[in-house]
Amino acid sequence: MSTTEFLTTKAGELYEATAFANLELGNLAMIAIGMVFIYLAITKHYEPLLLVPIGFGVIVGNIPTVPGMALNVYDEGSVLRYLYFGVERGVYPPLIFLGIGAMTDFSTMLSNPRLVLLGAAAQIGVFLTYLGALTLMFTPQEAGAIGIIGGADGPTAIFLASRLAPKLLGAIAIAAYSYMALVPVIQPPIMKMLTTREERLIRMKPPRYVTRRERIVFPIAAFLICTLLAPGAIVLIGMLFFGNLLRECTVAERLANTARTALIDIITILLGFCVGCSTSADHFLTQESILIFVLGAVSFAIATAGGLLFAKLMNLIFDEPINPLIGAAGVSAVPDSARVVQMVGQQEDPHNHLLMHAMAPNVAGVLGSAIAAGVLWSQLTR
Amino acid sequence: MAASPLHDLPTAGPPLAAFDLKPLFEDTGITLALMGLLVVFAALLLVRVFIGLLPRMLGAVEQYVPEKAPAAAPEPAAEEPGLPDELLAVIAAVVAHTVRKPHRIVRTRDLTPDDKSWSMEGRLQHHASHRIQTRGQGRS
Repeated sequence: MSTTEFLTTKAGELYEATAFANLELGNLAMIAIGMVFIYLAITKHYEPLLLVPIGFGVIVGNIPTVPGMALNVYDEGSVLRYLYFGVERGVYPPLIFLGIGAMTDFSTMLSNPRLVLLGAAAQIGVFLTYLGALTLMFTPQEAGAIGIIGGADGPTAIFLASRLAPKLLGAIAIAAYSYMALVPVIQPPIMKMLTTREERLIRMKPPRYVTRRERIVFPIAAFLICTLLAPGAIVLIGMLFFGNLLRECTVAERLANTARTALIDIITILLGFCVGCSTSADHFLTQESILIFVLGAVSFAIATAGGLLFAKLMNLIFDEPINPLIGAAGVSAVPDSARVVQMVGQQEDPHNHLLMHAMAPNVAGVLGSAIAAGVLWSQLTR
Repeated sequence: MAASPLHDLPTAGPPLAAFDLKPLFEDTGITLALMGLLVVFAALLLVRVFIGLLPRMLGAVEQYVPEKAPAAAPEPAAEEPGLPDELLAVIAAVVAHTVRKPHRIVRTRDLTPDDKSWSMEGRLQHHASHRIQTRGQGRS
């Protein structure tokens, strides 16, 4: 063998050992998408705590691996595979809910209980999208996992997808988090289209003072009510209210503090990164993913409209008016959709502070989407 | 080692244009959607009723087991000697700017935990501290 042939052969072997040999257009497209996520997070501040880990995970997940080496989340025995276990088996979402519970102040909801119903009304997006997905020939299990995107709750979407449609998990998680990040873009046009200026100017009464006892009794009682009706929601709602009890009882401050800071941060990092890593082009760039993204957008829009229109309906029934904008916060996406309500409300009246009022349907929306997930899980696993 | 469920599942999806209304009329169709929505509304309606009754229930409990009063509020600051004149001037200026009619400030005091409006304002600012920004706006 001549020196030239030897060098050519070795160069070929070296090339085969690099990722370039298996890099496809799809991988490049996904790497570009990952970069867009990171760009949006850094420059537009769209959910940076989620989009940075997801975006980088997308880039990591789309570097082609060398055959025979266990490297990505789908390879048995790889490190990423072990980290992905928490996503695939639905371990991370309940832990996120624990942290959310330890962060959430239910006082505004307790002070104006009728706003709870707005959180229920927004779940219409989940069930209409479920029906839409059925007509597009998804199986009922897949349709349920897709519909929950309208709950605008990333952990709930991941949890239900891991239970009902694991192979769609990556697309559903990315769709859910993308639309959550795009709440400030998706919701305002719908909110303005479905309300008049007079409605957007409605001012609401300041919330009443809520006693410590109320705040302590609520998580226990609400857990019992919700899970006795929808046992499928035990894991998510249980962790949510457990975290909230830690917060409100004030005697377990260390635990509450850990749940709402270090624990939720660690889980968010693992969840976001692993979800991103699961979006390798061969798993993600499919017809199903396109449909899931379309259905997710529809679900979000219907959920927003559902909350708004229900608030308008309540105004026809009750004397004390509700600013219908706060109905849009029923899609959960805590606290982004409530911030959007505040932003849209202040565009009409800079002195009208709707944020505190919007937090009530916002946290009710978290309950609503967890209950909806519980119902879909319990009915579709039979 | 057992293969992952992810590997076992088929990856082929439904055709992009496939459309069929038949699944809507099966048990897992409209019936399930309506039932699901009903359960969500029923659960949150019960939560709403419970929250509505909670103050009354706790009011009844309060008669027998009164809730511990919060720690005594500190003495009003203005009654303590030594409140800087500059601070009083700032308070007077803010009040004058807000009231915009003849007035007299007769007393100032430190905030206490019972000053709900101030804690609400604090929470409001906390929630708004990471507000969405459009291009060109400075960081909050």
